Amino acid sequence: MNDRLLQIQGVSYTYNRPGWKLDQISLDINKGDFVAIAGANGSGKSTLLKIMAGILLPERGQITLKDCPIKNIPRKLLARQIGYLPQQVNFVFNINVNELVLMGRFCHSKGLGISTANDRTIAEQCMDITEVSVFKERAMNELSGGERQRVLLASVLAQQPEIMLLDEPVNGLDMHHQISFFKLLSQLCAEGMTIVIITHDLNFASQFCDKILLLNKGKKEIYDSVEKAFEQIEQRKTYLQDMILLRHPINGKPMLLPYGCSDRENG
Amino acid sequence: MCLKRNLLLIVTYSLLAVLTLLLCPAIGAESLDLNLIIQDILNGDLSQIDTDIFIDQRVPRVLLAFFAGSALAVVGNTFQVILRNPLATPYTLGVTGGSSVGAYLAIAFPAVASMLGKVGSVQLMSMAGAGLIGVLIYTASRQRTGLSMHTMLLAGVTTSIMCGAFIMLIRYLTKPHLLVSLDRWTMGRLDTVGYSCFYSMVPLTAIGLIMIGYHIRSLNHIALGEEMALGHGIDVARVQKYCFIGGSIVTAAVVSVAGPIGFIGLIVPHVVRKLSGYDNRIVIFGCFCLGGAFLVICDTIARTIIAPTEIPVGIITALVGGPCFIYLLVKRK
Repeated sequence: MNDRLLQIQGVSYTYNRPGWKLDQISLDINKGDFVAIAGANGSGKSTLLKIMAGILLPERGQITLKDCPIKNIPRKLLARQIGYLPQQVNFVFNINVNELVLMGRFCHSKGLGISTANDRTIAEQCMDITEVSVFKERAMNELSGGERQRVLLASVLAQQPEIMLLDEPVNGLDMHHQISFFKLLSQLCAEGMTIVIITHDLNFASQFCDKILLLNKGKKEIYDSVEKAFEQIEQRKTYLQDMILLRHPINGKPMLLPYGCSDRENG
Repeated sequence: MCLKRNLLLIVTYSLLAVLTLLLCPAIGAESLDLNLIIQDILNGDLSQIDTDIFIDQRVPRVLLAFFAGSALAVVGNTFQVILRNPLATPYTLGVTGGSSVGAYLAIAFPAVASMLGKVGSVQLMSMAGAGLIGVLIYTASRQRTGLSMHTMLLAGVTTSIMCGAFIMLIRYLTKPHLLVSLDRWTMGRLDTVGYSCFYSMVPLTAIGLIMIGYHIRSLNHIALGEEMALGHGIDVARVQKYCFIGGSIVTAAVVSVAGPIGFIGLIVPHVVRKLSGYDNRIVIFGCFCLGGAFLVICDTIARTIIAPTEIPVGIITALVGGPCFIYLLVKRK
């Protein structure tokens, strides 16, 4: 029996553009889950994640964290339980790695927030976990995309949340960094963290995550364990256009392989 | 955050501020006998001319310059952070435009202004103009989740341009001999006798600065973007609201007394950030000390360089500050 951590109940949301709507999404996320949210561009992944993080308020429905509606939880207390990493973070002013990670401690601090020894220890640990300690004095603007994402993750980790919501954190990372990022996340999950991640890569989701949520045009299409989710994907042939479903030769997990059926090769 | 380094910065900034506050009243067109003045003040006898000049002209002027400068620099930094735009100044959000229109109306149409009695004074008309534009921009930028900084920036720039047009209209309609007064107001001035200007500016400025100061930590997070700040547990809408209202009150209070003194709100925050890094807890303190010291020094130059007459301080801030800032930019490369 799993502990239900985050519950999404009939959540709907519209933007000021006609014809699009996040429609009545309901699902439960349990403690220790590693959930991947996938779907085409514009399917509502980021909107749903923002609603889960309390960044956007749903028009209908609600999100509860351990049965308490998150809209009733003060923002600072919420940040102690939910860590959120947005898709894009721009650095207008130059801030260094160490400062940024320490800023994750805001939700645990009081007054002027002069960082305590405890804060610094936790920040150091988070930087060690994400392997950014070596460049902790460098400015964020000087780092590569992958390094930045790891620092931002360290900053979210420093909040010591129970659940992390990550919006395409591996975007723009090379394959090796993507793998090490996912490995790190699944290791955190094994230690009890709950993670929801938006990714376009179902193969990574298959290898590392427990569950897949597939959104389509603002609606929940599939939400199931990886195996069952892929079974359903296989049944919906439209999704498999120009792709074939295979099994990983080593661990047998499902994976999708694109193939180009250009006339040049066939004919 | 390195505590030692920050303490050193705080001490240095404070020392600079205190030094200018102590030294600059002693400098001026009239050379004063400081020993005599100190003795007089200790004896409680303020009747000597030197003491009178010192107490009633130099000190209030230096204090006015210090608080105007520090307030503008702090607001400049705050607006740069909440708008996430390094080019923002206290004057970006149109409040100053409204302030100028109010002051222009009072100066250009003295007959109408005098009919309004005390309300028609340059200072109060200027405050009223600022308030009107502030409310307009605030209303325009409201959205479901708080304030839209994007709308605020655009609305601010637009109202500034509109106020500019209105100012040209007033200039066009006004009697030619009043144009000089209008121009002098625009250049910014700190010539004051007695403490009335200081007293009318400082309480409002203090209220605004407290509103900003209360959210000083949150500003660090806001600079990372609204979503990241929300994720860190910051009540972004609240911080934006208080910083905008506080900043506008401060700007209106300063501009209504000293005119739109330019440049401080833009460069002092950048200089302080270069010297002390990113943390707004230090940056805002640095802006307060250095902004104040910078304007006091500029004003001292303004009132001594072609003594017995004066140059409007707004000219000096740009002519002294500009090259200093460009030097810092080039040096970094």
